This record gives sequence, structure tokens and C-alpha cells, in this order.
Amino acid sequence: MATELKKVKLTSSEGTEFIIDRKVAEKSVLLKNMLEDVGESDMAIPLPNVTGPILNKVIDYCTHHRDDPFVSQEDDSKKVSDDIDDWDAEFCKVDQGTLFELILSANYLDIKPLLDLTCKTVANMIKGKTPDEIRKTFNITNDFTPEEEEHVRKENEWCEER
Amino acid sequence: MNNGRKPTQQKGKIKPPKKSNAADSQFSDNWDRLAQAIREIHRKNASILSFEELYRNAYNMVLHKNGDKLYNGVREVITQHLEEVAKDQVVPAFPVSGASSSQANSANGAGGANFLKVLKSVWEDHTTCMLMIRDILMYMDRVYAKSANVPLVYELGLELFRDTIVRSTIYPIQNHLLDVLLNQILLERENEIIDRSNIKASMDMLLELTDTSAKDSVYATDFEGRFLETSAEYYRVEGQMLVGECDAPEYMKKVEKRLNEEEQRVRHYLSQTTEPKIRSIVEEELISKHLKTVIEMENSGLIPMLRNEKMDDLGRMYKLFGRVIKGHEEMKTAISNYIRELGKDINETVSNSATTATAGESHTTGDRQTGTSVAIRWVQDVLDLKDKFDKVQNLALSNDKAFQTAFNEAFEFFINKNLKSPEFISLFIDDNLKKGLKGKTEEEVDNVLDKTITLFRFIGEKDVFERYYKQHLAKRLLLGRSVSDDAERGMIGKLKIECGYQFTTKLEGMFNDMRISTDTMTDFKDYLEKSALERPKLDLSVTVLTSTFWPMNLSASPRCNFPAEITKACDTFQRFYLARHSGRRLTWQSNMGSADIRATFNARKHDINVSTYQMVILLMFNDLPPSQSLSYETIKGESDIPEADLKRNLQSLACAKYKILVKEPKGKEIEPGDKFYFNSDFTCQLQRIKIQTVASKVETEGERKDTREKVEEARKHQTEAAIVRIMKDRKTMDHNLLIAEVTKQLQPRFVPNPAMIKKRIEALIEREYLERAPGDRRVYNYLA
Repeated sequence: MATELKKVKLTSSEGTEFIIDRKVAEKSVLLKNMLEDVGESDMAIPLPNVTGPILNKVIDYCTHHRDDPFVSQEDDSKKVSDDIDDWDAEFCKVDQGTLFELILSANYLDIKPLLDLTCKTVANMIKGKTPDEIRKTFNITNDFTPEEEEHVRKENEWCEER
Repeated sequence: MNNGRKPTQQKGKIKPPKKSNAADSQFSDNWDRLAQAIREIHRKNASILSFEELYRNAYNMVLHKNGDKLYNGVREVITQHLEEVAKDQVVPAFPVSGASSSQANSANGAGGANFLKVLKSVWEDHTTCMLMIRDILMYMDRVYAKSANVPLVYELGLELFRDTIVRSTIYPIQNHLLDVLLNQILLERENEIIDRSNIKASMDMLLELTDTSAKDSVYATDFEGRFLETSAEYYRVEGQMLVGECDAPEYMKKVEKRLNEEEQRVRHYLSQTTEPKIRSIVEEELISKHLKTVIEMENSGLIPMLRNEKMDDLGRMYKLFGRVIKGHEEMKTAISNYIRELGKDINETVSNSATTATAGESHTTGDRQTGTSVAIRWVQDVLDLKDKFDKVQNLALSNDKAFQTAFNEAFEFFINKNLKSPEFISLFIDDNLKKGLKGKTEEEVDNVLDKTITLFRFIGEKDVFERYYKQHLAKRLLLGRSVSDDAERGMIGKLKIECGYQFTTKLEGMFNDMRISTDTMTDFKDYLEKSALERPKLDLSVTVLTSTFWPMNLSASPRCNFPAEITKACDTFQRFYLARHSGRRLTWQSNMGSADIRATFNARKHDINVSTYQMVILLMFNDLPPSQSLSYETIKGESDIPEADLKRNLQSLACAKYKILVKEPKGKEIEPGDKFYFNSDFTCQLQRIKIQTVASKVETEGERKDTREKVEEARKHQTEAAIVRIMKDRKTMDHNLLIAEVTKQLQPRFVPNPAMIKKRIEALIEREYLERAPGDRRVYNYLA
């Protein structure tokens, strides 16, 4: 089949065009379906949701993982977050904003491996921190009243490590 | 397009998305656009839409927690569309009244076919649209549907189609659909051509739609049941009609055809799951219900088929009836009964000819021949019958073992009904070994013998057979009547394989005796040469028989007064023999044996071969003047020959073909007071004549009773021996078990009567070989 050679055009929100192999594009289930349904066409696929830099990163990821076998969607069989290989770890060393954008894009484009990876990374950022530390990391304002906070703390006392 | 998100800086703030009026109006905008898009898809205008935009719309809606609104909205749009379709496309295509009736009518068929076509196109449109809709709404499926536990969009589409169209509560679509489908099938069964692709499309549609409560396809819940019902009814009627119209082979061919048809039908447009169900219905209605009727059809049923050897038809019946549980049972019973009938007929022809024969004279050699020929005919008839059914078994019944067993039982039954069967079979073998096998190749010989062995297997009373076989074999050996030594040994070999060593030791002993006798004779001749003894005037040839092997009774050794020369010769031999073997006793058997006499008649001399008795009788006439006669009493007195034998031998000399003696008064019967003259006027073409000696014959009633008694006597001993053997081994045994064990051990020879066994046990108890256990009367102990 000539899917290897076929190219696909993507347009980011600012209008930047990206040309990628069809095989790479098909790592996104959304793009895969779109291509199948709409058929062969030279028209670019607009992605107003995704900015250029983010799209670039996403394409990076897809290109690097282009030959990965497609894993069937087994729902949450392994909820571990410590199996990130080196390249992926490097890939995720970006600022928080980019990281969250990546999560949203992966969700939108339906690229499960990337979504898993980015979410795991964030999970690792949360793991082992006290609530206060988490708030600091993510710049979250504490909107509990003191009573509410006390209540919740009591409820979860059993989780706390002694 | 504004999505409510902005690109963020280094440390992003995560805020819960705010719901505001702006969001609401945004939602309705998005929704309107999507709803319109779905409508366009339904109108087959999908090409004008932007996939990405619609996907994004759905994405945004779900993101803003409007998944449920989206979902419900989609449901409404699709439902609306389907209702329109039902009204505008499906209902107008309803076949006109009468087309859904069960009458098979081509015109109605066309209307029905059209309805199916419309339904097919409606369905195809729907599925195509749903695929596209599913793709756009994939995000909703992924994120919303799972968590809200609602069916995915595509499934939702199927359910809506099922409820709005197929199971519409407003229009009787389902009724029409099912009626048309069943009508089409009916048409096809009546050999009309229908469009199968339409039906297949409808079936596929029904298979894809599921009934949620039954967790099975709508095909299974709505269609299959009715299909099976109507089919059962159809075939019930068909079965009754065909049975009335057709003869057996025709009927079966038609049934075969129907079975193939239904199989084809399933393969082409029904679901595979229906195949076993419809097949069992056809089998039930067309085969099971009419098993007996078909088998018993006059002039064409099972018996006529067997009679006329219609192997094809039989084969077909075997295959067809094999499909239903009772099929083969019925066949087996019918054939088994038929075999027993035929067997009974064969047995009856025998007893009829026997009665007609015994109605007349019972002592003529003529009757003897008839008797033997009856026996041989009986055996041949049975063999032919066996051949016939072997052929049936082979060609039509694919060597089915169960049938073979049924056949064997039937054969056993009627063979053992004929009490003379062991005798007959032995006679048959006797006849073959005497003359029948002359000129046949080794293979053919083997063939015939094998066939007789198969008959032998059926005999229950094998010990009776053994007794007869020994008798016949003895006569064959002694009178030199056997055609081929190899054949004889072959037969014994086969019997050995069947019954074991014990059965045949005595037979082999007889052969040995013959061989040893020839050697002994050679030595005797040498002895005579060398010795200075007066050579006997006659040439003596002696066969020494070991009494235990041969079927003679010493006590019944027939007496006979030999003339002087004979006695002298015999004494010489006796001396010679006893000098070689000490501790033995020789008894001369005068009822066997033959002599060659040179008789001088007026015309010329003849060499006559006669039996020993006849020789004794004839020699009496040597010293007689020609015109003088000897009376019956004189002959009897001087020779001391037993009466029955005397009469028979006199008959052969005086009343048969070659009249060496003349009897007065003339007649076939020998009465006291008859006178006998030497027939000097006797002439004959041949130089050498043989006077028919006593050939093997069917026993007279008296002789049979005799044999039976001896057999019973032997059986008693064998039973007792078996009991003692078993008890010695087990030391103690329960009554029923003992009976069972004894029966098992004796089975190869005969089937013992439990009452007889019980009697033997009592006898043994009396003789203190066994005792009853003190505590339990049903248990026996062995007494050492």
C-alpha cells in the first residue's frame, strides 16, 4: 500500500502548515478516521485547537513512535507511572503550560500513548507531595474554608504516612 | 472559532471552566450546527461538511459537560429522521393485502420482494449514516458514553432503528416484514424463483439488531421462532402428502431433496445458528414420523428392497434414517424379523421334505440320498442367505457394526431353531470334502470352508456338531472318501482357530492313526515276506484306530462271525501288532471296512467292492450249490450280524442297482422268511463294480435320539468338571455367580441350562465335592 508515501497536510491555529507521512498522522485516531471518511484529498486538515509549537511537539512524538505496535485499548490494566523510557522522559521536560497543552491536544486528537505519557508525567509531579506542596507546584489557590479543610483532613487521616 | 481557552504562560493556572451565558449560547450554536450536519448526512450531503469542525464541536460540548445534552439531542434527531423514513418510504412499500398471506402466489411474491428491497435500501442508508455520525461523535463515545453508561452512538443508532422501524408501534412494519419473509421462503419451497439477496439483506439486518432483554439478535427473538413454527407445519403437511403419493424410494429421494434445499437455504440467507434447528424439524416431520410407514410400504418398502437387492435405495434409507434416533433401530428390527422369516421358511422346507420322506419308507437308500440332499440344500440356502445379507451390509449399510450384530443374532436364532443344524452343517462339509471340492482351486476351497465356519459360529450346540463331524470324518477317512487331504487339514486348522486346541485334538488323532496305520501296514508286509508263516490267502489291509479318538463305542462293537480264512488272517496281524506294542488290545470293527471280491458269474468274472458284512454274506454262498438259497434266518444266524445292518446290507446286495443276489419274494423290503439266491446270471458292462456301502446319511429318529443322549451325558460330565474346577480355584462362591461362571466357561461348546447346572451341583454335594455354607444356603464351599 502506498500509505507510506502519502503525505498529509495539517494546519495549526495560526495557519502554519505541517506536512507529515500518513503513517505518522494515523497515530491520531481522529486523523485516521478523518482521512478514511473524507478520502484522498490534497486539502489540509485544519486544527484550530492546536497551536504551532504544540503541534510540532505532537508530530515529534508521533514521528518518534511511528513504528510502535498498536496496543489494544485495554482499560487501565496497569495504572503504573514509572515505566517511562528515556526519550519520553526527555520529551516531557517542558514547562507546565506546554505540558498541559500537550495533554489537551493528545485528548483532542485521540493519541492514547501520548495522553498516557503526559498524564503519567503530571501524576509523577503530584506523587508524594503534601496538599500544600501540590498547591505550590501548580499554583492552585486554596478555596477551602478552615472547617471544610479540617473535615477533609480527618476523612483522609488513614492515608497519611506515619 | 473561539473555544474558551487561551494559550498559557510558564506556570499555567488551572481553573475550572466557567459556565456563563456565553457558554450556553455557545452550546446551542454548536448544537444547531451539529444537528444540521446530521440532517445533511441523512440527506446524503455529507461532502459539504467539515469533519474536523463537527468533531471539534462535539469535543467542546463534551468538554463543557454538555455530553448528556449532546447525546439526547443526537438521539432525537435520528429518531425524527427514522420516523420520517418509516412514513415516507417504508409504509408506501407495504405489499398489497393478500401478499402477506400464506398463499404462494407469484404476484404476491413480487410485491413482497419490492418491500424487502425498500427495506434493504433504508437499512443500508441508515448504517452508512450512522458510521459517519459515529466518527464525528467519537469523542463523545470515548469520554461521555462510557462514564454515563449509555450505549455508544452506533449502537444507539441500531436501537433507534429497531424501535422506530422494525418494531414500530405506529405502523405494522414488523408484521409485514415477517409475513413477506415467510412468504418468500414458502414460494421458494414451492419451486418459485425468488430474489435471495433481498432476503439476505433483511436477515443480516435482523441479525445485527439486538433485543436488549433477551441479549440475542432480533432475528432470534422475532423471526426464528416463527420461521421454525411455519416450517414445522409446512413439512408436517408435506410429509403426510408424500407418504400417500409416493413409494418408498421416491419418498426418500424427495426427503433428501428437501433436506438439501433447507441446508442450501440456510447457507444462502439464513443464520448458521438456524441450521441445526431446521434440520431437526425436517428430519422429525419427514423421517421420524413416517419411519414405520416407509419401511412397511407394500411393494416398495424395506422388505421388497431387500428381496430385489435395491442397494441404492437401501443405502439411501440407511443414510436418511441414520439422522433420527429411532431410524436405525426400526430398520434393524425390520431386517432382523425378515431374516428370521426367511430362516423359518428355510427350516420349514427341510422339515416338510423330511416329513414327506419319512411318510414313505424310511430305510431305502433313496431316502438316505434325499435326507442328505435336504441337509445340503439347507446349508446352501442358509449360506446363500448369508451372502445376500453380507452384500447388503457391504453395499448399502456401510458395514455398520450394529446392523451386523442384529443380523448375526437373527441368523443364530433361526439356525438354532433347527435342531438338526449341527448335523446338517457337518453333512455339508462332509459332502464337500467327499466330492464337492473336486476340481476347485485352493482359493475356492478355502472360500467354501470359510463360509461354513461362519455358519459354525452361529451354532449354539457346538458339541453336537463335534460329535457329528467326528462321525463323518471317521467314515471319510476309513472309506477313503476324502477328496483332498489338504482340504481336510485346512478345515481342522480353521476349527482349531475357532474353538481351540481341545476341540481338534481328537480329530488330529484320527489323522495320525491313519498315517501310522499305513506305516504299520508297510511293516506288516515286510514281516510277512520275511517270516516263514503261511501267507494268508487274502490280502489284508488293516487300519488301527485309537479308540479314544474315534467315535466308536467299544461296548457296541458289532459282532460278526468271520469265515475261517478271514479269522486266520486277522489273527496273524494281531500277533504281529501285539508283539510290537504291549499293553494294547485290538477289537475288530466289522461295521466298517470293505472287501474286494472276485466273483465268478456265468458271463464273466467281476471284481466287486463290498462292505465287510456283505463280504461275509457273500462268502456264505461259496459253498452252496447254485440253485440253493439261503434264508434270511440262516444268514442271520450264521453271520451274527446285527439286524438293522443285516437288512441294509442285504438290500444293497439284492434290491439295489446291481443285483448280486436274487431275493424271493421280490420287493424292496427285507422280511423274515425271504430267500436269497446267488445271481449267476448277473451281467454288467463294467469289470469292477462297487456296491453302495453305507454312506453318511441323515440320522433316523432313533439314531438321533441316541446321539442326543450321548451328548447330554457328555455335557453332564463337562458341567461337573467345570464346577469342580471353578470351586477349587475360588474355594467359596455364591450360587448365582457360580452359575454365571460355569455358563461362561462352557459357552464355547454349548449353552448350559441353569436348571441342569443346579442338578449337577446337587449331585456334587451328594458326592461330597462341595458343601453348602453353614450360614448361607446360597453359598457353596469347596471340599478338598
